[in-house]
Amino acid sequence: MEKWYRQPPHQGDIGISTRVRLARNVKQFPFKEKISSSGQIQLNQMVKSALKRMDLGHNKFGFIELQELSELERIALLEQNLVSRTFLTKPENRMLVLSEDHSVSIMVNEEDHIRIQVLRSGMDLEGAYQLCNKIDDILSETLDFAFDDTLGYLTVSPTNLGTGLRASVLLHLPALERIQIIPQLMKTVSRMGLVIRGSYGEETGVIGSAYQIANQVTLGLSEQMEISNLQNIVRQVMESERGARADILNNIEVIDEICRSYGILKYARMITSKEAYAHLSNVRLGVSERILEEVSLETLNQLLNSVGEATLSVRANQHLNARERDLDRARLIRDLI
Amino acid sequence: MLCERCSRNQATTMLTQRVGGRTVTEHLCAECAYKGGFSSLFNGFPFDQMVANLARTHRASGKRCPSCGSSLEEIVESGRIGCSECYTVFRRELMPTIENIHGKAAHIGKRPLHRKEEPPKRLLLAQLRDDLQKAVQEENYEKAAQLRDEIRGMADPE
Ligand SMILES: [Zn+2]
Ligand SMILES: [Zn+2]
Repeated sequence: MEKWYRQPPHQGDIGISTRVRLARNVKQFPFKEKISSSGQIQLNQMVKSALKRMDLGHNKFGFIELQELSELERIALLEQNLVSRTFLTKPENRMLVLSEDHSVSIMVNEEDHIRIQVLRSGMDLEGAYQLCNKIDDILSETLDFAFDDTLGYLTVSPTNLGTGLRASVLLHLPALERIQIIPQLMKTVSRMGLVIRGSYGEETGVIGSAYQIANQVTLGLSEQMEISNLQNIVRQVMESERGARADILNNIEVIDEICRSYGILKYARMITSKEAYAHLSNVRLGVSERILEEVSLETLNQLLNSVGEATLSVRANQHLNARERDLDRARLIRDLI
Repeated sequence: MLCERCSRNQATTMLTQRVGGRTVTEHLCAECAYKGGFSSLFNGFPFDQMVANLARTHRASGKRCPSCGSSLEEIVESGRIGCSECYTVFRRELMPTIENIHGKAAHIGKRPLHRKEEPPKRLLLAQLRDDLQKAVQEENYEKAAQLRDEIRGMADPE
């Protein structure tokens, strides 16, 4: 079965991926710090048998005991956004439920008892939420979730109280970055009650011009309102990015940079992850704006999920050193692009 | 650059959010960023002194959650609640923190399947009307339209 990131993206010219997650706790067990290991094991069993009732169509759930994975395999899961960092710190008694296409990952015994996560290609908040919601329905048929009339779903951290819903969209904003209005955008977006973040390297600025916008408030809004608030703002950001792109793409220097990046990815024999992300970002802009016709967004999405250090090692079935990784990374990119 | 929160790891994430009515941009390590910058939930906000004082009073009183044994002090220190019962036992003490994060609000979203009984509709409607008024004042018309639909939807069956 093809992985989720090979699906054609909605609004893929700017939307890289969408993530929705629900936090749930089971009433009969104390939270993370206080639950016993027999409680954790029992919880894993309960989730497993509840999910046996779920029909995912062609997709299937796999149940993974975190302890049975190698260190590298665990880090690869993190690189592909399938688990959280917290989840990996203490693998004992933790279970990951992973759908075959990796679009659904359910962490059991994470910070909250259950975290349901759905990933979608491009911007698809509605689709991601619907599936999350369906899984939550199935689980709540047999599990009694901790809930309070005023505070909603009760969570380990008060930041998730209410709906327990966290939704985010990862956006590719190279043009807004180039015209230097990201700081202003960050201010505006956070004023709307949302959080915006970018991952960056030492001196390179934000990696791959990728910014994640997420909701922050989970109490006092319905799930639908949270999703549509986020959707409205993401749409506006997308519009400004499109406007900025129309401007910068009149510039032959920008076009030249995009095409040079394509050349490097297509022919390089060794490439570091930093370099790869920077060129993938340029090529992505070129593909979205039809300057480069040779590559698909699906392929670029696949590469984003494949060139991480641990992911490359797991793929090669051995621990690769930095030089070997750079060789493998360049080969993988050449094969796909 | 080192993480501005833990000062231990390399900062890899720039995070901008609204905290207590102000826009804050922080440079955080992956670990702190995952916690949404909220890792020290009870520190760094104007009210932490208040919560810390409460915790001190509580240590004296020795009040603990009968279900999981957590004291308020433990909760404040870790930023993590011990069990669902803690929310009842320490509700009064936790409310200022909760309101600082979410505003004064009550849950209006989904409910677990077997707990279908709705909270009093009157309260929900009042809350929604408040929000609507605020949205109109802020000229946030998209939100206002949404709220109006929601209020209409609730009023319908009666
Ligand atoms: Zn840190
Ligand atoms: Zn408790």
